Amino acid sequence: MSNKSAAGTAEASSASAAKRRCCFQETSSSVSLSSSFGSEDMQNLPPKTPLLGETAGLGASAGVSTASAAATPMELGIRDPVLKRYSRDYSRSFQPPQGPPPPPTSAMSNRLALQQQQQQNRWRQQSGTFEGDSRSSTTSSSDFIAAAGLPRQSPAPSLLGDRRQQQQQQVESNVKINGLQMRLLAEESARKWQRIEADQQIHRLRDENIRLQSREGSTEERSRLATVTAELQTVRDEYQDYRSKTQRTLDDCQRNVTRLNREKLELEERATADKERLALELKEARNRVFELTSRELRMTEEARMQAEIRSKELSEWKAHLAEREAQLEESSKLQARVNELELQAKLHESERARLKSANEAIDRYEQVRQQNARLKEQLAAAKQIRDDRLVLEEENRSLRGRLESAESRAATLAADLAAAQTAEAKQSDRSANQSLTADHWSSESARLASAQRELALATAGRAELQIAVSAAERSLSESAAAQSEAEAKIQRLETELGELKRRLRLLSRERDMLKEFVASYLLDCTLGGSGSEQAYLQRISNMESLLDDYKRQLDEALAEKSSTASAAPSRLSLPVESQQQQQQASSRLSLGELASKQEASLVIELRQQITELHKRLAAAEEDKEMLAAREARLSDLGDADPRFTRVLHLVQNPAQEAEEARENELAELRKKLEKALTRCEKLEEKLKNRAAAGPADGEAAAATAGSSAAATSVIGDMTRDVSMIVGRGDLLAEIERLKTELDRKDLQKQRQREAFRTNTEKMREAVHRLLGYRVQLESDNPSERLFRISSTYVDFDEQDSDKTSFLFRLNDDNVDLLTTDYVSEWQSDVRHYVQERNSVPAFLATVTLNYFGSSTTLVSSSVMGATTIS
Amino acid sequence: MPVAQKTKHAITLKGSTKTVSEFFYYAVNSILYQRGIYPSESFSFEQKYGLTVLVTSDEKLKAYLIKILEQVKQWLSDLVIEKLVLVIRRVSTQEVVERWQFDIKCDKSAKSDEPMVAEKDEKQVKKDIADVIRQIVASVTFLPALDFQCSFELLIYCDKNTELPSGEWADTGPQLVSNSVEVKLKSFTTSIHKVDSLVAYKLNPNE
Repeated sequence: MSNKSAAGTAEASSASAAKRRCCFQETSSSVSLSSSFGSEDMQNLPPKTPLLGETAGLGASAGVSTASAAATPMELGIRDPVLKRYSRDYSRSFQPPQGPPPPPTSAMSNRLALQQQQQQNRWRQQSGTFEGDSRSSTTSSSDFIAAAGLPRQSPAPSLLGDRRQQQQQQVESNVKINGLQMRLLAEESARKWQRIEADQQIHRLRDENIRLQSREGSTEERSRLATVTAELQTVRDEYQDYRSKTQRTLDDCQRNVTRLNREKLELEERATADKERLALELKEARNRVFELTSRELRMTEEARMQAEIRSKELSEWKAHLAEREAQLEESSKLQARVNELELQAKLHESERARLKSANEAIDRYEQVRQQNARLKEQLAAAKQIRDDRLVLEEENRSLRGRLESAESRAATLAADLAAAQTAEAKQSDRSANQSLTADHWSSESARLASAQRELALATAGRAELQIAVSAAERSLSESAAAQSEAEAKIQRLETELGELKRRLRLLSRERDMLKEFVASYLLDCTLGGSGSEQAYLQRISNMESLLDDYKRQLDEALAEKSSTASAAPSRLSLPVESQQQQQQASSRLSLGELASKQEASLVIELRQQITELHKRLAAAEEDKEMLAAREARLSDLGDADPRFTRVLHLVQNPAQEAEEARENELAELRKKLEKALTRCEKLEEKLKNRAAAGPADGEAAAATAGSSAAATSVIGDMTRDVSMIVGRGDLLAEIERLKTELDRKDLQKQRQREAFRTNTEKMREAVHRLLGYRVQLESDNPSERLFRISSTYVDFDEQDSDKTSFLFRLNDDNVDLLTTDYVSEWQSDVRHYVQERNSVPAFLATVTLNYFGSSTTLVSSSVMGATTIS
Repeated sequence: MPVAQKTKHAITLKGSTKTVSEFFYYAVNSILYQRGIYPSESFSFEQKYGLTVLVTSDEKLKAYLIKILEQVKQWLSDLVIEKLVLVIRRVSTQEVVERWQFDIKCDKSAKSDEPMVAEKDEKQVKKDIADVIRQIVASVTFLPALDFQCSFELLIYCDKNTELPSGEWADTGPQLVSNSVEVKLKSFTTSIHKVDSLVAYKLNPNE
């Protein structure tokens, strides 16, 4: 962000620089900067007061050409009305002085004219410079705003107003300084003009004097010369007066200039201070702009983030809305399903009606079956009749045969009768002759009459039989038709039964489907209260009971059908049972009506439950939405659904390590605390023991010690004791062991030391006795190895002094004999044996021999003793 | 009439994985530095994404980050990673006080060996990443100061069927911040992986 702001500031500064360039170009174009101005002209320009925001380049390049020297401020392109006003005033107040024209002939006059022209050019340049400065100040004031990196519409109007006021004050002060400078210059130029006039007059008088001197001959001319000389003197005096006056004026002007310069410096200092203050304000403004920019960026970012959040929320709301719509659609589907269920309930009612009609049909079927059975019986009877008829036909045929045979017999008999009659006639003739044949004739006639009777009877029976056969055939055809009709009815009823079974299957399947649907709906409505679930379950149980009721009714119908089917044959024979069944059927019908009423009330109850369920569903949906919103928020926050996502981490992680370290630290601190507590307890016990041991001890101690040092030592002892008890309680055994070991080592060391000391004494004694010298270790430092050697022949009291003993230092490769007073006594021997022969033993032997020679008696006694000993 | 030729940029799954895991490394380092989880002396300057980012020189921490990011790289290339979360906890109470969440959306149609047409070129992607890093650095201005000892942990959200590589990894919870304030940061995409950033923090963690 800082980089961005820095970049922005850099861009603003570059833009301001570009703008500055543009302003400069505008100014230069409007002023029409002339390249004809040389460096000399530029150098002759009066010193320019730098304005705020003005650059050297601007100041250096702001000149006017001679062609545009008389241009007005408007023509010069000054747009600021304040600066225009100042410009106008200055153009009005700084008109070039109208001096007298120079004399046309003289060279001096020409030079003066040239100087005057240059002066006029300078004034014009000054005026142009000032106008250029004012323009540049205008430019710089605009550039100042641009360079500040501020927007043209400043965020703080008061600040901008202050800044403008300060700029205006700055411009005014600059204008004032320039005005003063210009006035000073004008006065100076006026003085110059006066001086020039005086010079011209002096020159003119000199010229005239010269001219008159050339005409010196005439008196008139002399008198005129004197007059001219007097005039000259007068002019000179006047000139002197004028010079002195001019000098004073010049001094005054110089003082004024000094004062003005001081004022200018003060103004410059004020301007610098103002500039610094403005720079500070600019810095503050920049900081403020930066803050505002950063705040704006932050706010933009926040707004963007909020917009994103809003868009996300919007999308979530849209999703929720879609979900809600889906739920509404689902609820509408449920409503449709409920309507469908109601429709199905109505269908069930119609089915019940149909079932009722089917029951009636079943009843009819039973009747038909009864009728069928009856018809079957009739058929059987008809069959019997047919059999009878067949029998009768057979009989008829046999009778006919018999009739035919009887007819044939009758014919035979008639023929016989005719023959008999002829024979009778013949025999009447012969009656007389044949009296016996009459009887035979009469019997034959009787037999013929009986035969005729039988024939008549057979004919009547035949007619009767034919009538019976026709009746039987008719009844047979009737029974066949009734049977076929009954079979058709049975077929139809069986078809209806199959249809009912199929419908039952469909209803069962639908029930299962509805169960699944309700179960899924219950699963979806996870937030549904136990009440709605119970209502659903109650509804399902109601539907199941309704279905079971239907099923039971169907089973009953089937059972009744089977029972009626089984009981059908006997129904014909048992009309009482059929009547009872008809009564049962009628009672069942009344039960069905009752069931329909119950179902209607159940439907109403179900509708009420549906309404209640709708309400609960709406509440559940609201809860679900809330939960979904909460879930969405949790999901945004990083909550993970364990069904789809795993959250993993490394077991050894910095947090775990920090926790372990903290636990370890805590454990150590706990240990320390426990130790400290134990120590405190022990201290308390100790104090109690001491207190119990007797306050007299304490008083005595206080009386004897009476100082805090003693108390401190007591506390220190106690602390040490407690430390021994607490801190080293478990190390006591080790300490005891180490102490025992230490004692043993000390004893061993003591013994070794004693043994060494004894041996050393023995050795020294042996050396002393054998070599005649007592050897003593002089220094306590064992590394120094400085030995004092004294002869056994020297007096015992003087043995350890420097006057009677040698000092030797043993080095690694040689032996140094240290200089002592005693050595100087043996100088020649030292030189001879030690220095020249490099033999200390020989030197010592010489010393021993010298002593031996000088004190024979003393030595002899001791040597004798030694000889005796050895 | 000159016809402007539209330049198409291509990116592979491997390149996207490298870019995203690299971003995670520098983002985590920046967070750890800015939030003062580790001493500032243990960080060194490094130039990345046109920025000067601070990277840890603590060998132990570096080893942990490299280990976890190697696995993240694998899961990025398998397109099974869903989130990377940096959890900052108070050591004394183990309370989660800050949670930096980087949601990763993978383009499942990306294949390992086929380059895809990228929406943005690499320079733009790096610029977006630099913006995110800059926002992370700037977030110190509004996040509350953590005036107590803190530790951190990295959590990875993966697909349920993701197999764990070794016994060093284990399941854990999401470790949410209770009563948190959330600030969404900028996001960037490599056309295969899109990374959204969010920081949730406890408003008054010192209470």
